[in-house]
Amino acid sequence: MAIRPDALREQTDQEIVALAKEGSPEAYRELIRRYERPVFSLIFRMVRNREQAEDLSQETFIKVLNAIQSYRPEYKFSSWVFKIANNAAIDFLRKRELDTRSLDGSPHADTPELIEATALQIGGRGESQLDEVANRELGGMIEGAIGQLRPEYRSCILLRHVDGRSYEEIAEMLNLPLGTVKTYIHRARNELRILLKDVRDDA
Amino acid sequence: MTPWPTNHFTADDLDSFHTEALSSEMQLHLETCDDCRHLVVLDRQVLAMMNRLPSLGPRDGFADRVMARVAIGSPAPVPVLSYPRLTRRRIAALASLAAGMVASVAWSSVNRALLEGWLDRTSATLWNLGTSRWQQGLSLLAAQPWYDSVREVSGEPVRLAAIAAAMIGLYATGLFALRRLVSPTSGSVSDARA
Repeated sequence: MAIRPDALREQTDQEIVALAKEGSPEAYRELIRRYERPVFSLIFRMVRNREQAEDLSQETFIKVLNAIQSYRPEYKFSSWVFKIANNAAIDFLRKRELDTRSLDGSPHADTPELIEATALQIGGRGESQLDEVANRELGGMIEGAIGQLRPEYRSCILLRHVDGRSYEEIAEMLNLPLGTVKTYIHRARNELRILLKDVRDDA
Repeated sequence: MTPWPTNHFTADDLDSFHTEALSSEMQLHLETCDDCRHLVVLDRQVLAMMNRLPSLGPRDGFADRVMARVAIGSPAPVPVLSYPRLTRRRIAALASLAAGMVASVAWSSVNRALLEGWLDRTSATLWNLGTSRWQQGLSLLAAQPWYDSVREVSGEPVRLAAIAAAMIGLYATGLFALRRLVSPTSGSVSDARA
């Protein structure tokens, strides 16, 4: 029996996963809807390449959803998803070096259509056009500064201060000792304080 | 006079400051230390900037692209313990096995003296074989040209202790080296900018 997507919105992750395990396509879609933006945001900020971030996000969801039967409910579903996403990004970074990519689209895009197609979809916050431009510029600088951190620092600080994960959760996700996670995050903050000095002075 | 804390803010103090759980001691320090006040202000600004980072999304149709490659399966069947069916052949095999065991026990109880004789002879042969091999080994060792010099060196308890200590040291070094060799390295992730 098909389930109305609206009916799933109120349910917890564990309930949705239980439905997915029973073979409900609507439950699969709901899990994608809940996590596509956080997963894509994390991966994009790790790899700084839109096409690769899309591919890696897609691979993450395929891996998660194809293994949904083996998911153990005693673990937090979001931790499992982010763990797989982070591993995918780290593996990718290990394999290749990356250049930086503007939020406004690929530097290789030479037509307005291509620039539009490669630009990132940023969640709207009801800003005026002027605010949006200023925020976009500021956001670009922060993204650039985060991109200059070591990948280990980057994943820790993104999970902590953008996704709001606890230190313990991050340690579990990244298979790192709690003390190491705290050290990475504080070193990352130290580096960001230095890298963003000019931005702060202008702001 | 109240002694002022000399330590500046640690990473944990910074976290406590942001969560408004700063100890009164460090709160007092903050009021008097310009460096720490500057640090918490800068840290707060960095965190505020990170909080303002927008949520990014993949292009439209992401869910469709994922769903096209996901195998939606029915729930995995619960494994049920099953026993092999008893066919005539299986029953016959089981019956002959049981009959063989019963016959073996009956024969052993009837011919007990014969069985004990066999067991005694076999164990005596094995014992003789073992001791003769041991003696052969010892005489072979004693016939080696280096045997006398080794015996002479290890004759004194002090020397023997020194040799034993050296052997133990060598063994421990070997173990340590082996451990280093077989332990996986904690490969750090290469920097994307490198």
